Amino acid sequence: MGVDRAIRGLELAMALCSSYLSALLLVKSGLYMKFKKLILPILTLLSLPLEAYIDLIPLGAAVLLSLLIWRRGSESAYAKLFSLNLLMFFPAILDYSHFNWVMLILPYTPRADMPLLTFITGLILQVSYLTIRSTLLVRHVRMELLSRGAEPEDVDAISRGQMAYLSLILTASVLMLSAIYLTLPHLETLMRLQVLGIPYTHLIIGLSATLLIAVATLLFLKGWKS
Amino acid sequence: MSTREALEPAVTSFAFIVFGMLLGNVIFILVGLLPLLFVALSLLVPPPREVEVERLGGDQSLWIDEQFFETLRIRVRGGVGVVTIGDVLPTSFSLEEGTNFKALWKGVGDVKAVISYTATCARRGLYQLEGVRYEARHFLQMLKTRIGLVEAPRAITVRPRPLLVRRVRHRESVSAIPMPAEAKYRFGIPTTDFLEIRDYAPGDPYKMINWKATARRLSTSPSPLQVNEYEREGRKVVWIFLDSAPHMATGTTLRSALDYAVQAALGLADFYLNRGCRVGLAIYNHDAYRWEGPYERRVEPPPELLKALSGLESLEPPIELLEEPGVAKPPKSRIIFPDVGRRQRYRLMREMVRVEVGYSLESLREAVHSCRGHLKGSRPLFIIITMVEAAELKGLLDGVRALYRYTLRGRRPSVMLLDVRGDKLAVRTREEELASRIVGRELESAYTALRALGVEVIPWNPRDESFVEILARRVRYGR
Repeated sequence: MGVDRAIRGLELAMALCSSYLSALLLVKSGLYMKFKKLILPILTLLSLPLEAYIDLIPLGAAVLLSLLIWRRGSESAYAKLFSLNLLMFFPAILDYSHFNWVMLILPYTPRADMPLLTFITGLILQVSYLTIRSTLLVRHVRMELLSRGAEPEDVDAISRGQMAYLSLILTASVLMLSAIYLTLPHLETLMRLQVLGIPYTHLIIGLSATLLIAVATLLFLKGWKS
Repeated sequence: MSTREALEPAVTSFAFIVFGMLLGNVIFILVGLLPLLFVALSLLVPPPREVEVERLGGDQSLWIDEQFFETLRIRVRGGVGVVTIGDVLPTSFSLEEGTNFKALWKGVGDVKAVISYTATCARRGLYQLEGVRYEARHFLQMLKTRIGLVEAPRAITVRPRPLLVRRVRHRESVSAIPMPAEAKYRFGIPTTDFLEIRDYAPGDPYKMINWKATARRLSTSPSPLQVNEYEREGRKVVWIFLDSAPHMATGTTLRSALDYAVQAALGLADFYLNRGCRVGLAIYNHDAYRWEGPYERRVEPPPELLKALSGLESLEPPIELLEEPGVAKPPKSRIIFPDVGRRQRYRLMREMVRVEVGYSLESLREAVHSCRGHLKGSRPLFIIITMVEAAELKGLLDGVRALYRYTLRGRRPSVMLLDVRGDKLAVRTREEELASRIVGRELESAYTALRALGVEVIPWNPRDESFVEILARRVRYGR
């Protein structure tokens, strides 16, 4: 069952990588620093010398949790992992936001000095989400075909084919998105000039764009014929 | 049409974009675009388009439990994804070697594959393998799976094996497997085979009078003249009446009482055909006695009445009765008239392959009535193969009486009833065994009633004893 092991190995790698990077971004975020400053005096009062190791706790916890979730290997468990990663990713994202709603309640100094790492972590989060979704499907198809009496060699060939096409599509998507990210500063300059001529606020433009994307997506998915 | 697999990443993507706009975060919006791009690119890869299947070889005819070999050549064209192909076999077929299901990965190029398997069929019948079913899936199941059927017909005829019936030949022993008593035709030419001594009847030639026998009888008491009776020319006739009522389905999924009854009928037919007898077959439905109607010829009204009625005009227009598709048609006779030879054996086999529960809609009495033209004036051997039920004896008794009514008057014909004990076949637990014994007790009274009518009843439990054994039990010694 080499293919099965390879799929599980890929799931483990994706789970560990996404959790570690999310936790890493968490400990580098401005919001985390704010909380750290609040907690450290309490720890000193309790005579717990954890200042040097406190950043390792979220990292270790994230890796451990992702290991446990991978061990369970179910769809619901992976959904929890994805939610957890997003939760850890959120403070870092806030540092790059134009409207930081949290700062209205709790003022802190944002740390927006690693935009590339944040983008890469976001990409890895999404890639891990899509990969794990697909590997779950591949495993399900394997089980179904084997239970229906298919030859194990044929099932392995199917899984290999599915994984190859998955990698191909994911790579293409990541490359396209990276290209957009890299050309974004130039695009932004061009678009800013165009948008400035429109006599509406950015909220109306943003809302219209969001609705347009939603409708287009819906039409795209509903109208797709095999 | 896209599926949940495509919709969920798209919704995730949309949620990211909305959230990114609320925060005014370009990175979040960009990251959120990834699932949407992924879905869009995945949907550009179409699932496999064409599946071609070629079934090698021709239609097959086999015996029960005989193996058959099947080979299918498959070709998949266009698209990328998973293709599953299955040659659906009837439930009574069991796979022995190979597989009738194949899963294939269809990459960029065309894919060719061969499915070959060996299967066994445990039930007789005419089977039509309609085609090969296939599923063509998108590689990530983002599009609805296309399920189709490729026409590749194959007819398989599974013939029942006749149970071996042999006449027991042993010194000083005679098998009691009855031969037809005679083939007595009213106007047939007498042969030299002596049949019996009977009372003189007006019209008998004087040369037939057995003077010695007459003198012997007159010496004791006054009696009429005695004449020798010889068998008339003509082949002996055997009629097999096979029950196809729903109770004959009792047993296991693979072997029911009907299957054993069919095998027994074929075995007996073979036995009598090999001995030059004319064998006929009538398939009836025991349950039909409950709804059997007036099957005698309809009496036409006298011509005077028709003439008087012809002058009247109907007040209402005649109603045209439309035939509804689901309504049962009038009972159809399932009779093969007596004949000899290989052709008759083939006819019987062909009919036996088709027999299933509810095959006939006629009761035993109706079946006898349907073949009365071939019974009148003869004295054949009747073999009724059924499953006797103590509470449902009326139909059987009526049928036996009808047999006597249509055959030659005088000495009664031989009637043999083979009771296939379906209840014994269905026994699995101790409780069921006990119930079967109780049924056996109840059947004793039914057998007594049948024997009182002159029927020779042979109970047969196919699970414990072979057909040859039950016939051998009837061997009488020292005759």
